[in-house]
Amino acid sequence: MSLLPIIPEISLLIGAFIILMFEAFFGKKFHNHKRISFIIAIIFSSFALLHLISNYDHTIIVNGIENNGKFYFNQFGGSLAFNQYIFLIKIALYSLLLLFIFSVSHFVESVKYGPEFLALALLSLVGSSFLISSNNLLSFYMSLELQTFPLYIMAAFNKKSEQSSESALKYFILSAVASGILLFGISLVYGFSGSINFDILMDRVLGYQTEISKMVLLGFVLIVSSILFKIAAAPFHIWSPDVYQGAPTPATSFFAAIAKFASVIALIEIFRFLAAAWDNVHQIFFLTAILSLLVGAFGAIRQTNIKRLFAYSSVGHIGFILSSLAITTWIYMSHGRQVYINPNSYYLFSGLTIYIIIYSLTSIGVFAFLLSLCNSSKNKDGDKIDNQTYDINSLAGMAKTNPILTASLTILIFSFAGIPPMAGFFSKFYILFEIVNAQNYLLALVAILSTVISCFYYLRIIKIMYFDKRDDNSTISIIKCNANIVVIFCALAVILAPLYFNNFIDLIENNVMHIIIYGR
Amino acid sequence: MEQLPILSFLIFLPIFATLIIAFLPKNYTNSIQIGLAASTINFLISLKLIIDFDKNITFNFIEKTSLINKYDINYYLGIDGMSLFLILLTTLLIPICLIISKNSIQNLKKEYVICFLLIESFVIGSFATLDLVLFYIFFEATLIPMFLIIGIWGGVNRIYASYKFFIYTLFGSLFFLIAIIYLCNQFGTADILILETKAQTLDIEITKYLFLAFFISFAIKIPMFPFHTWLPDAHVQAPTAGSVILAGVLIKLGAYGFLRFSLPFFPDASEYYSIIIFTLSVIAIIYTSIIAIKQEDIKKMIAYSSVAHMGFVTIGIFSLNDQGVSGAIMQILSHGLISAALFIAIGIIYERTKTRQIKDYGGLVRKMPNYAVFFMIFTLGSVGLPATSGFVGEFLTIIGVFQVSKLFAILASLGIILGACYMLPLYSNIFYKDLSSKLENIKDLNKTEYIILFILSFLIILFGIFPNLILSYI
Repeated sequence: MSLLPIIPEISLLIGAFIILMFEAFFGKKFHNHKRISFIIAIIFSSFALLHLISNYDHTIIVNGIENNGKFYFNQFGGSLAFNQYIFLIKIALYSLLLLFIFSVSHFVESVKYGPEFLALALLSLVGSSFLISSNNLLSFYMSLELQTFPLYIMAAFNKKSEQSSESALKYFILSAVASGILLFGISLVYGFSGSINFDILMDRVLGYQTEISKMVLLGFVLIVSSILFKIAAAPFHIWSPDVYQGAPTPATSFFAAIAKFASVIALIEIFRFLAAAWDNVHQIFFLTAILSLLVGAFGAIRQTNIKRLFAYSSVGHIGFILSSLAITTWIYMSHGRQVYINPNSYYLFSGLTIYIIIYSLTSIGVFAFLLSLCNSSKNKDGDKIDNQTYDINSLAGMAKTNPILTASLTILIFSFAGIPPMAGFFSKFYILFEIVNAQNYLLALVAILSTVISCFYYLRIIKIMYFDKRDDNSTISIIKCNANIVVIFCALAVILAPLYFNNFIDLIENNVMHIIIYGR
Repeated sequence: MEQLPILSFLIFLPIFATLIIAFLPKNYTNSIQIGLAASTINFLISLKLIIDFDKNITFNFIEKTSLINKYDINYYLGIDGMSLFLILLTTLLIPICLIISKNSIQNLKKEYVICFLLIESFVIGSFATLDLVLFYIFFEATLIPMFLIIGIWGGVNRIYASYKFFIYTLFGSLFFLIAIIYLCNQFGTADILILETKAQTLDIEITKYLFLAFFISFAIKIPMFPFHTWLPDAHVQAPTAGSVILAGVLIKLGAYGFLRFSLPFFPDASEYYSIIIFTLSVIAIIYTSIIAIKQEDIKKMIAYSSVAHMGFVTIGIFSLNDQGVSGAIMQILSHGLISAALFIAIGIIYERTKTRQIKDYGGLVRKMPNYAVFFMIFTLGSVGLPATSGFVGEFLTIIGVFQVSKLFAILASLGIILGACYMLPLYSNIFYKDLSSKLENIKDLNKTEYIILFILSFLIILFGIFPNLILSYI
């Protein structure tokens, strides 16, 4: 048994513990201890990223199979699995983490217990990383919990703010219920199929031997709905605006970009188990997709808090992702394992992967902009007044004071809205292409209309930044910090990314084919 | 010898200039000069297009690079005669726009120049591309800078106008997108030249739907009755240069779309729907002309007259014969010159008096004789007097329509008379009658204004007398 494939996770874990220990024992001895913790986090996460990149191309053969330089193997009694697709996703995930750490550097240095926040983020990312490569239901559940537990603390990080505690409590209770449902689903699956291993389940559930038990199916439906809760798809989205608004902005950024990214990938892993009864079950995805698109379009229109607005907008984006899952079709092919995804549908996964990566990248950029907002008026406890800072009108006239950052945010928002030539257009284009390909014109129509409607509130942000005059009494300003660089970087990436989609699609499609061949 | 990628150069030079401007220091004030230099160079390069253009080949200056292999979407450029002149019109108008707004724009100058340069490159891109998806990308991308131009530097009601412009156009073009995706999906390519032959094999029932999806997008852009209501709002609120570029170039994208896509892709559906489009066009010509008569705001009047002129374009296109189509192309180009000239002319007096109400003017001929001469040329061009380019377009169009339906030809020619009914009173109200006391100190054209108006009126008369200069290319 080799630890090689999980070195990135181990590296993050060590990083997190070093930060915690360093703060506990040496924190008072160094006046710049917060910066040191920040650098530790950067070092360990870049090491993890570099390790992934360097191991991406050449095969690590442990006990797996090698095939044309591609690999698939599982580890630790089959509880974790690795292949090139998973490596690719992890590279994206760790890059997002690096961007996230850079964007919160100012927060870490200015807030009490800032480094601990960073440690929590690293721990949560360990969970996300394991979640992506988990290969049985137990590791799936555990890594999902590992991902969410630090999030509760991060949401409650602003101890003095009532809203922060409220949002953490709300998130904790609702999330606990969802986890309960998840566990119930897992127990049903285990009870009626006799296994928790994905590979074996694949045979039992989709296999030739037996007809699928209704209870196993119910179990998977429960599992899927609890993940739908985690990614805040309508109608399970009610928690997300409150949590987005109440939680401190760095935590919101982590929810929106990184935790959601990993959970969507987890959903892709799980939803294939529904294939056997797809004719009946795909209605779930169809319904949630349409609901999410509509909630995303209409919910945000009246919002005045920017974070709340982006919570609704992200529901809309999840709607796009779900609609591409809803149109998946399956065919039976006999080649070792029994069920493969139809060649028409595996294109979906490249579109889907591009969509979620671009969405997360844009989110990181947008929230980095919000992180660089600063309110110089304090309330009587000396805290920043969060609600005022993130009122949408506080952005008024930003174009004059910070032209480059505002222009970058404008690019990011147009990308969210799906206007060409930004990357957001291309990612929407791929998904629309497949929807039309599947001849699901109702879904295409809803997607199109919701895009038009959502443009309305995206435009409002731009209108406020460019068209409105700055209030002279406004205490909101933009501070110079690393987050500024992240905003500009993300904006450039969003413009330049379409040039590389060609290679990226090839890359993913080769690897997705690989997943299909090996069931993973 | 391999050809220079001259079209790419035209597209990317403005973008390159925007990058330079964006990273200039904050207090740098001469960004307009840089933009002007870039767009003038672009204009000179585009003149080279005419020299090198080979009339024997349909598509000149072809460039092709793969963009998305999977769906066979390419960066595929190439122009024929129609796109050649539309590109020239664009490269001519952009420097003019920048010159006339030198003094009138006070805030956010950098962003202003950037917006215009972006529009230039996107519009050239959409006229030059031979790939359907690439066209859509450029076509949609023009929305962003135009939205900002109306919203930031516009008049009192600018926010409403910019929203209306953006949402209206986006709504239309998303149907267009679905139709594009359907076509690409069906034939596995986005190459316009291949689709042109293949799309005709589709079932007529399907092409009817596809035609409607294309139609709604272009009809909103052009704009046709009853989708025209965004245009007067946008024109009235936009700054002068914004109106110039909107009337001169952007709404031409809709007409270009009809000519480049709707007709060749769906000839049967075009014929099927042509009677409806005839009706809508004639309604547009007569109805908006009557509305224009009642307008009190000069700019709004010209905006409505634009809708009427675009009615001639659509009716010409869907007469589906040579005269009609070349008349429509002629009308597109001449309207591009004439309406741009009129908006510039209005901008010139607006800057001096800060009013656009007709009733505030009168007797200007005594104070601004040169200006009055130029305005007369533009007015007559707009009315369609022989020897101006406006005449050629309307004349050919009506000949084309006459072959299809006498009734519609007669109704459309009614529009020419109605055009005279509002343009000539407008002229007499501004230039004759008594000089109002407020206008005592108004000055005649300065040198730059004189040159700009001279160039435009020269071109209007030149193409009126020698229409073959353009028609031989088409």
